Amino acid sequence: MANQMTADSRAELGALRAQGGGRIVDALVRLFVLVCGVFVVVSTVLVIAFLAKTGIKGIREVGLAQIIGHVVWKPEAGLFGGVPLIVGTLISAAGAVVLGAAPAVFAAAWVTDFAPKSLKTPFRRLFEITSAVPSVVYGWLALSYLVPLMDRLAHRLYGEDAQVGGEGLASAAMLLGVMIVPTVTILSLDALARVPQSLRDASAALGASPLQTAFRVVIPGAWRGLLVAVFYGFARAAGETMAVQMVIGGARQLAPNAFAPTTTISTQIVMDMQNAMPGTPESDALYAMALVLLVLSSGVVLITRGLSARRSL
Amino acid sequence: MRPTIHSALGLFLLAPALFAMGACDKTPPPQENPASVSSSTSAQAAAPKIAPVTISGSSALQPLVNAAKEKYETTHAGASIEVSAGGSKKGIADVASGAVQVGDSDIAAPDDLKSQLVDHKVAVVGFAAMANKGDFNAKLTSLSMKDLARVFTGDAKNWKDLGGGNQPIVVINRAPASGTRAVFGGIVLGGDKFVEGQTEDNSGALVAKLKQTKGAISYLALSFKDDALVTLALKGADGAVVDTVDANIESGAYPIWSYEHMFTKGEPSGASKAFLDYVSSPEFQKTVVPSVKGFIPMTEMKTIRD
Repeated sequence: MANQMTADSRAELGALRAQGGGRIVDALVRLFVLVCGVFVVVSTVLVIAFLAKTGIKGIREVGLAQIIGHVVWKPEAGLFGGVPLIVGTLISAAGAVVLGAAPAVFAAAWVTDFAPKSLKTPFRRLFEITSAVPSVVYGWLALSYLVPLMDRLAHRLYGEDAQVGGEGLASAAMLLGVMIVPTVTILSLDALARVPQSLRDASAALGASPLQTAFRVVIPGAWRGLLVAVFYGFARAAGETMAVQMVIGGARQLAPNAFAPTTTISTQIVMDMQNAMPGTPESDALYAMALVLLVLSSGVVLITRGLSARRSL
Repeated sequence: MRPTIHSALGLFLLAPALFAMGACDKTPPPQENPASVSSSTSAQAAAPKIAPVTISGSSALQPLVNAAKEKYETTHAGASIEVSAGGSKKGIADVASGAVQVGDSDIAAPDDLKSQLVDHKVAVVGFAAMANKGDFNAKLTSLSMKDLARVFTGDAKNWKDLGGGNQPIVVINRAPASGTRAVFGGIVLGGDKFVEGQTEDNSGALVAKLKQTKGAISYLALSFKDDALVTLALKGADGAVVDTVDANIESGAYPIWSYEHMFTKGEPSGASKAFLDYVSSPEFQKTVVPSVKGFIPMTEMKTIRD
């Protein structure tokens, strides 16, 4: 039958479908999209609600004072001092921003306003690809090459007999710095591209050199977007788990220096969750730490939102 | 309609199995054989005939369980055994909650679960302090119990304190859920009194860290013994050195060992009973157990412990 169908009859059929069946298909597609939308929103809200509920239960059981004020995290002894975890997370993420985000922003500025035009697209593609490299690969590379290097550096700095090693905040911050470069670079490129060409032209017309234009016109004009890029980098670094766990050492203590093993919130969740049966204080306290991490990261994202909402460019 | 219902049901049944695979230990122990790969296909083929026996827990025991699984599945047509490691305490928790049929553990069940769980002792494993190899410990092959305690509580900070060369000691711990940590701490330190330091959550990764970290020391099951590491023998009070060989564990001369337990919730039945019967059979104890590095058959033990 289908073979014998002429082009005309097919067109007729299509028209018929559009008239009669069209509405039903329309309604079905609409329903499908609606269901998807509701499903996504409900599941996201449920995840946050569950985390909040269990986390708050954990905070009630353990006490907020202990979670954000005590330095001994030892679930097997009923001690849930979260300070080493929170400090480890904040310092490693802040270190990553200094080591990784700042160069990324300037690299984006260089490509936007100084590099040959033909480099722009390959540069962007490069970072799109590297942002898709799984974190376990970064972690493994760091463990194999960065950690031994940092170990030598540590002993060079503190002496051969010192209790220092390659695993610690220095390695973690450096690794995270490398890991956030692609995200920060791509977001920075977008922010700089939003600065209108007319501003650059006007600056040049006033006699400003390209360098003056970049630092006095383009970067100040895009500063909110650049800040958003840096904050996203921070949030990504703070939430990273696998790679950091491989190089930070996993010692539940405040690090006396950047070359001593310590821990982060996400690292400790991975280490302890196997031993925490649901419903026990150990499990609730871990959820409390997860909630703290969520508040830290979402706080950063909210600040970012506030900044980008008022963005003029 | 019926076939779709069936396939939907199949998906539901498959989901926990997939989840169990995902929950597998991240590093295969050194003795692991390709059985775990091939068996997953045979498990799928055999699924309609006999339900698989699900096992989780101790990573120290895993090499032996893998060997048992391989032999058992080839000699018992249609049988399938699914093993995942995740630590002794997880094995006990999983079997108590009903998530798996058999929970592997290096340690005895906690008091509150003793009434529910039936203990099947399947082998004995020795544990030892193992260290990074270097000039600093080239002449140091044994440590006394007291020195081991000094190292792992953090009192001794340099290899020269132990009679070795000048090199800081880096203690690497297993995670608190580890049965190895519980056994070694219990016998050497009289409890979990380890100094806080670098922590690894599985034995395989720990071996890699020990090789890489200068001056590092940790504790492992002898099934993870490695020529690239220094395995420290025990120096007795009279100065005699007790090596970590099987004969010394069997006689009780070397005290750092534990029974390897397989727990079931209540008396086992069906497929899990058949598997446990096989594991405790003379055939398995006499031929398979001695062939897997680090394991000693229950029947060889001349000493008994509670």
